[in-house]
Formats: sequence, structure tokens, C-alpha cells
Amino acid sequence: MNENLIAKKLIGRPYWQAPIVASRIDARNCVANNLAAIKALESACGIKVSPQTISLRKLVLSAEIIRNHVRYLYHEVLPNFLDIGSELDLARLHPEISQDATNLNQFSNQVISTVSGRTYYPITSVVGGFKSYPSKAALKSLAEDSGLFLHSADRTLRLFTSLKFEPQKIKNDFTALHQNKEYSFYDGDIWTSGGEVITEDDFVRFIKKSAKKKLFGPIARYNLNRSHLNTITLNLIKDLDTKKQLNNISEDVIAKAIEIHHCVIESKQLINNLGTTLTKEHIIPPEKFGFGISAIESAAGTIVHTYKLNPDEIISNCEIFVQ
Amino acid sequence: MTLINNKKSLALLKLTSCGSCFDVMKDSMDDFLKLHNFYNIFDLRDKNKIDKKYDIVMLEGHPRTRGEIALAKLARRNTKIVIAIGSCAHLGGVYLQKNEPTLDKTIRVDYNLPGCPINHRELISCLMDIYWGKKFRLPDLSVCFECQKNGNDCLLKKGQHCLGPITRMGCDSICLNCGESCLGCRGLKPDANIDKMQDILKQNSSEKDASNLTTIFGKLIK
Repeated sequence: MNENLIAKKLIGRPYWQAPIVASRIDARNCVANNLAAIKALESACGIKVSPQTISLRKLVLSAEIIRNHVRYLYHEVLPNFLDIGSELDLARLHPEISQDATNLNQFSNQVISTVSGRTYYPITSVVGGFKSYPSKAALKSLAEDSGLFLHSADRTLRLFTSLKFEPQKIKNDFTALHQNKEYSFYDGDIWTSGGEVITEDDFVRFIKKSAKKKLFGPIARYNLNRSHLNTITLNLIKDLDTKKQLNNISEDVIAKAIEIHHCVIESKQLINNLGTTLTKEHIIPPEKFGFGISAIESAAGTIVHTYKLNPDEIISNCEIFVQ
Repeated sequence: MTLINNKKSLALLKLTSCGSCFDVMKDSMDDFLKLHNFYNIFDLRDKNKIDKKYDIVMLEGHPRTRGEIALAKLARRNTKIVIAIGSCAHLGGVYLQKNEPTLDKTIRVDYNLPGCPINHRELISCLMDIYWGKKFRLPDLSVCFECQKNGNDCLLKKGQHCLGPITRMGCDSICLNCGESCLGCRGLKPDANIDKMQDILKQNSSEKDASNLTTIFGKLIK
């Protein structure tokens, strides 16, 4: 990962370029880095965005989590488990399984391109809101298709909880964003399984000092946020007898499959809500230029962005931490 | 249709970049699967070593370390055709720091597939043209043609910045369709009037803003 090169590149540039450039840190997590930059810059600029903007961002972030997890599970884990060459062999030998991957990939790509303008490197999401909005017809079409994708998410969860891998115990503390209302991807404090609660002011100090000793990502998120999974996912994992705490590195696949299921349902609800209420909003202009920080969950774990802006809107300092 | 006996070999290597331009192909799994009827694809991006000859080598990224420069040169020696994919390989990309070389200053590049990310249809066209022994050509016109065809309002006329007039078309003005200005990720079109563009940008934005614009995706103006 080349986040330090990106941070260096951004210094001396106007703040609006940061989300565009930062999203290129890693194509797989382009939405997460784009949103982390935007959130940090909105904090630096004193901007408070609308609930609709937050819903659209959560939707597109969920879609990216689905896409990443699906690609990992179906393109890497499953071919490896079955001892076949690649996802292409999977498609040839087990087309019915591969179809679920295709469906979920299609769903996530459709959501990302509908909301962000294209499947990689968001165009529409900027500091203060969105440059353009999806049409209600596009959201309606996504809502109509989402039933099919939910079946694929369901089968994915059942499949990956049934696979048996060699256990490899995790010794590190689990670390992820956490908040009281929901399974956190977009916002929250950083929590650890050791009982630490790190608020925004301490994000950078914590990441610099402790990040290497902690475990971030799906297992950590599941262990710390399990009670905030949506009811449908929660009931299904209870039926499947899934452990309340995952402690083996190999259970990463289970955590990922659970998150896919959760994110598909959450996306479906967000799409349904936005489909009826979506209105075009103006981009909120900056009120000040100072320091801003944000943390967000990418598929791989918590990422933190900080930006310091000069009064002339130029970035004078930038730090980016990714997993 | 399967042309197993006539397949060409295609290797993928990664230099400094996000390393995922080729993965854009997987957005369209059908096209990706069809491509395998014509090419044996060797994704060497994880080990990033090249140990035999290939018909085509695709390079993502620009060479910023000695190891990467050596890898690019080795790739050149081991293939007939080098394709630079994405703006990192074409212009240096978002990672390019001052005084670093772009790929075309390090080795001879046969084809550039511009954009951040690339247009996957252009990649397919390029590979199919090469497969059938044809010379692949990028479109020569500017993004403005696509933008106007798509019915967008001109951002320059609104007093905003935009590099559409000097940037090579082929992206279907995707950024402009979403209300964002063109930032030149596809590189210059042939005979781009850079002086005129800079005059317009200076009128529309601050000098610093205008000069920064042409370096977001590397060295747009070389």
C-alpha cells in the first residue's frame, strides 16, 4: 500500500483534490478512502452533512464491503479450498456456486455505479455532499433486484459457515469502530476487545502506537458489533449455530460471509428508503479551514485520515493510516 | 467459441500503482471470460517476477524504485509487446513524485491504455486488435466532443476548471456526466492547445489551482 506517497502528494494541493487522490490508495477500498478523506475534510471545514448524504454514503460503503468480501471468498478462498486453479475453474466446475458470486458482485457494482458514478473511484461524492444523484428509477430497479441478491447472500453464508479450516488462534486484541446504534462501518469510536475506547482526539496516537499489535477487519468488527447485526442476519447465524465470538484466523471467512449478508439487507433497506425520499441537495460550502480527522471501516479494517488546511484552502499536512 | 490452440500469452505486472486497473475487467465477467478464449493470462502481480517470454506484457504503474526499473526493463526484454495500462503507467499517476521517471522514459512502450481507471472496453479492443494482427489506435478527439454529445453544460463557460479541451476522449466524459470536471487522467489529445488551455484556466481559477490541475494524474504536460 502506498498511502504515504499519497499523503505526500496531497500536501500543497487544494483540499477538494484529496478525496479524488486518496481514493486511489487502493482500488479495492476506493470508496472507504474516498469517504474517509471527505469526512476528515468536512470536519476541517466545519461542514455538517444531511442524513440523506450519510445514507447514500453508507449505502455505497456497504456495497464496497460486499464486493471485497465476495471477491476474497469466491476468487481466493473457495478455489483454494477446492484445490482448483481460479475463479474461472470455479465457474466451469461449480456454476451454481459461482453464480452467487456473480450476483453479489453485480449488486455491489450496480449500487456503487448508481450512487458514485462508476464502479471504481467515486466521482459524485465530494466534500459537502454529492455532485449528482441517482434517479429514483435507478433506485427502484435496484430495489426490485435486491431479492435475488439476498438469496445469494443467504446461500453464501450457509456455504462458508459449513467449510472447515485448520484453526489458528488469534492472540491480538480485536479492534474496530463501534457505536451504540448500529454495526459500525461509517462512524464511531475505536473500541478494542481489551476494553479500550478511543475517541476521535486519540485516533492518531492510538494507531501509531498500537495498530501493529491489534487485529482489525471482519472478525474484529463481528466480535465487537455482533449485537448490532440486523435481525435477519442475527437469526440466520443463530440457526447456523455460529459462535458469538470468533477466535481463529480461519474464521475470517465466516465473518466476511456474515458481513455480506448483513450489508445486503442494510443496502436493501437504504435503497427502499432513499427510493421514496431522495431529493437533490446543494453541496454545503466550507465555513472554516482547520484540522480534521476521521475513521471509517474498509473491508480490511479501520482506516484513519487527517488533514490540516491553510486559510487559503490548501492542505498543509496530511496523515493516512490504512490496514 | 474456443481457440485453445491459437492462444497468445499475456502477463500482468505491477509497478507503483494501486495495481488494479486490470481488475476493472472483472466488472464485466462475460468479457473477462471471453478474453480467456484468446489469451492465456498470467497474473504475476503478486510475485512481480518475470521468468520467461510472453507474447504481451501489461504493466500497471510507474517505476519508482531500482527494483521496479529493473523489472520494467526485464519485462521489455521478455516480450514483443508492452502495454502500459492506466494513468500510472501512462503519465505516472497519482503516486508520481517530483523527479521520478514515467514508464515511457524507462522502456519503450508499444501501446498506452489511458485513464484512471482504464476503460475496460478499450482494453478488450486493444487486445483483440493485437490478437488479429491489427494496429490499435486510441481516439484522437478531446473529451469535449463526448461531453457535448452527452448534453452536459460546459463547466469552463460556467467559470469552473476543466481539462476536457486538451484531454483525449474515450471515457464517455464519465466525470462530466456526474458533474465533476475533467482532470485529464487520459492524457493529452494529439495537438492539444496547452497555452490556450492554461489561459482559460488562469481566468477561471487561481494560478496555484490551475498549475496543480495538470499534475493530479502525473505529468499531463511533459
